[in-house]
Amino acid sequence: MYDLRSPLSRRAVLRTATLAGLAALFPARAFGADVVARILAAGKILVMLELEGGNDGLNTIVPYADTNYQSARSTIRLRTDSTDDRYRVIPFTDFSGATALPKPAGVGVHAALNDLMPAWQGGNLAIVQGLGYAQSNRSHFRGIDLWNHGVTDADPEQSNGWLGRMFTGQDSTTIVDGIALRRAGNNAATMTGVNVLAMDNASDYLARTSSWTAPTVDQFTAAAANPALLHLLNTRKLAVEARGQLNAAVGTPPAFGVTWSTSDIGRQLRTVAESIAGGMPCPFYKVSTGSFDTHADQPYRHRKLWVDVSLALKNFRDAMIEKSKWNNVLVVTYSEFGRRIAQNNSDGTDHGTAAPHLLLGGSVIGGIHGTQPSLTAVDERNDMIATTDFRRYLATIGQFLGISATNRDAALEPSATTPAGLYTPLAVLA
Amino acid sequence: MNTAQESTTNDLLVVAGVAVAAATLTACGGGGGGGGNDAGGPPGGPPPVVLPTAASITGVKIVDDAAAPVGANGQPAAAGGVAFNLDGGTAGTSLPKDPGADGAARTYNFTPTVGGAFTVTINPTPSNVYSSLPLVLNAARNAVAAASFPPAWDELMANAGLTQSQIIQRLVGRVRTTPYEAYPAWIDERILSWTQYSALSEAAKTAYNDRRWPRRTEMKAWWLRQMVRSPDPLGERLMMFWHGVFTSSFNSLEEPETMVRQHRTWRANQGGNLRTFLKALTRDPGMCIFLDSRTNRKGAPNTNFARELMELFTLGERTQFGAYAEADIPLVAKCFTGYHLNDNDEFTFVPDQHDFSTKTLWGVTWADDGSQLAGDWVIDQILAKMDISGHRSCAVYIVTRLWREFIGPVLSTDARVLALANKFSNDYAYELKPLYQALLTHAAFTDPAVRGTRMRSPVELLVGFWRPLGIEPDVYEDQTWKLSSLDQDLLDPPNVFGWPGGLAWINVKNAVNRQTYMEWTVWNDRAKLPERLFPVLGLLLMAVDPVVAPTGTTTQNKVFAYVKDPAFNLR
Repeated sequence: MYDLRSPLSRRAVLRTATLAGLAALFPARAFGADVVARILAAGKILVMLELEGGNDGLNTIVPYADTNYQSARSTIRLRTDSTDDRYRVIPFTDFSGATALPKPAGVGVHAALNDLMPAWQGGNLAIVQGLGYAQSNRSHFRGIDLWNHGVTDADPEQSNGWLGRMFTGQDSTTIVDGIALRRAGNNAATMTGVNVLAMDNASDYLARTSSWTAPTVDQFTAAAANPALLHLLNTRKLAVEARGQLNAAVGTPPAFGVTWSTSDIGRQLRTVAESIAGGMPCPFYKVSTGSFDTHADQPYRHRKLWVDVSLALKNFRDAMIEKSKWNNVLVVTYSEFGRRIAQNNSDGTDHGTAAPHLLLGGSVIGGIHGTQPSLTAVDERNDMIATTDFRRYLATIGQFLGISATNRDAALEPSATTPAGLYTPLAVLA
Repeated sequence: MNTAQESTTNDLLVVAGVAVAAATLTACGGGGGGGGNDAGGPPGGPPPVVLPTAASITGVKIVDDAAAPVGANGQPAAAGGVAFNLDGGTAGTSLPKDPGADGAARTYNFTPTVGGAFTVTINPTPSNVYSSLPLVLNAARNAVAAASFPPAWDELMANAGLTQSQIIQRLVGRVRTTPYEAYPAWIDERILSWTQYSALSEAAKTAYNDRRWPRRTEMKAWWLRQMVRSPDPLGERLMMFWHGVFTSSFNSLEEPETMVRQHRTWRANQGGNLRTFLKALTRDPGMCIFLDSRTNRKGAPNTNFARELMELFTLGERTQFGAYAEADIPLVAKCFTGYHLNDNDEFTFVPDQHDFSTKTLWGVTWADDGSQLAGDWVIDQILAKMDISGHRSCAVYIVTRLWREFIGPVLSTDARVLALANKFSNDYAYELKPLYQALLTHAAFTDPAVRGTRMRSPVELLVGFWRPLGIEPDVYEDQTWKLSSLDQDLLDPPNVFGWPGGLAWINVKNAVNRQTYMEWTVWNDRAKLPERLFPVLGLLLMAVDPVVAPTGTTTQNKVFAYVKDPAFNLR
């Protein structure tokens, strides 16, 4: 990070260079191969859902019958016989519905995830167990850097996000590649390297830019020697062009036969659904919610968070099915880390390691994939050892988008010495 | 309105302002900007500051196409200011304010009612607003703004006519070990141990727990207020820098007092010696919590602090230059074993938890005999550590960070950086004030080409509105959310890397919200906008010409136009 630090994405550099020569008046456009446009043409939509703070995987997908779990979680463990939803687990064996995969005995989901049952029953919910990375130092920023950048020596100062890197060196013909909502600055991290429209929400953005006009050629010309001003003008140009597209898509929001959740994550996913249904030409979305950093009072907080997330996801799935988009949509969750096996003394859990994550969509293979890490064969801090490298999960997403194995591998471990195919996608997609 | 006309109005009132300020200076015999000469300056103190007098300001150029809006021809320029007459004549009877269409230069003689006479030339050559402004004002504004925050009018006048070196010496001299307004009164309230907390009544427990959020907000507002108000703008600006390098956050520390005390410690050290600063840092309770020193024990080392100390605080990830190696980390971590906190979150060294084995770092061996804390020994080794290129690694790292903050992107291998680093470690013996002086008078810093090429942080955006206009928000507590919404939550940087800064400040969301929030801010403070500064708003608010020349004919409209302009984001 020390010497190569540059806030400019590769594309921004290319664009700036082009502009500086004034060869192009349309800095966001170039020509050549364009994978983002092909993803768009194929109608594929990726929605990344970050569970901010480190979700407690053990109380999400719960090995409730494991006595090691029970003893490690003396006051916050989930039980099948509880009548209190803060403490109740629904065993997978109780589930009906289509899944080609076995339903393990002694494992279930937190009752707060009940609204995800229709997706499960429809075979649209894939759970990947034991995701993580080696040498975790349990820090939030390290954890999220790894997930955002997709490399274990992640250097946020110099590397684009893993998704952005999958398009490194490719030209762009799209105006907006990704939309990042809520904490938009951080939320765009996976996508640095492609054109990101960051916004709090669509209506504020549209209202606040209603009188905006794109910078003129003369203004670009006058700014040619000033990279900072050029960046401001390029951003303004993107804001104006994207505004035109977004206004066309959701200026009059598409209607759904869905009673939308009014939670924060519910509003975000509603915005995403409106954008997709309205035909916004943008394939990537990033939403987030939290805080899952449940060091204390976890039973109440964890339940509330998942009630909101699962209802919002249910709403979103219903809306996408209604608009016949669901088969091409993939929703993926991620989070800095899982939490420790043993709870703490504040009815909470501290930073740990591996955790399960969810993929939802019309084209996933529903069921439980991967292996729950052992609660007894643990690392030096008595935390779980990941059973699946997080980059295989990211590679799976890349595969969904149709990105070649070469480009996936190059993005996930950019080293000349890395053997190709190291990060084989998981068999999660139909 | 074209550029020449825009320049016109600026310049006319500049003249009025010069007269006012000159009078003010004469009256109070120096100062301006608040506060007199300060303690804590460089050894020997700065040389006597030569303040400008009205008589010393000559050659003021005016591009005149339009009527001067205020202050001309015998009208009082401002409350408490002085009236002046054009050409020494009677009010209203002197040469015309507007000599008409562009033509030959005309000379006007000004006679302020206080201070000496001076000459103003009406120069009809159209040029941009800054090149046509009096150079002394332009230079002073830029020197203060680039080093700290854009100056208020009085602050600007106090610096007008001084050389870059004098201005920086003045700013550096004001950097104190304590803030000009005291920290919140609760800063030294004792953080309760678990036992003490448990003994509280339920009501007292609730009150204790409920104090945290309001105190965080209070401190954020306090700091923003200092940045707007303080007569030590460089000190506040440097605090932003060090807070971004030696990071901790309210979010990562349970007790707000810990974070505020860290702020106080940084301030006490930022004008001193880096060695003392770093040793204080290793003992800072906030750091001990943030980077896990308190769980770093003999036999069970936690390497978090050791890693970040070298990678992010002192040496940088410059292993290719031999700054340090991954293998050094466990040894350094061992040196910091026993750096713990007592039950009240105060620093305490616990010998029983310390690994007293003999230490060898970078070829230097020391029997850890208890003669000093092993962490202090580590700091001494870090400051002595040489790159393979023969430069002190830590000096190179710190100079590079400062350079990027105050000048712009640079490689740590740049010859100018290395030269300054050599001065810092060898000539200045790691004293920081001489380093600031050298950096802020460096040719790369004063190069006019870098003006307006750096992005204002959200803090600089807001402070860059209130401070130069000499106004303040009604309630600072109501302003800090704008900072967090723009991704610079004061005292809560996102992680140990601090804020990415630079161009990364601007994405579509932030570009949209910066403009929106600035419009709201102007609207909220519209009644306070100083009418008398109408013609110099551009000079005060902008680092470079706006992308769109403002057409507003009222102060409010013109301020709106400036803050909405993309170039308002530049410093």
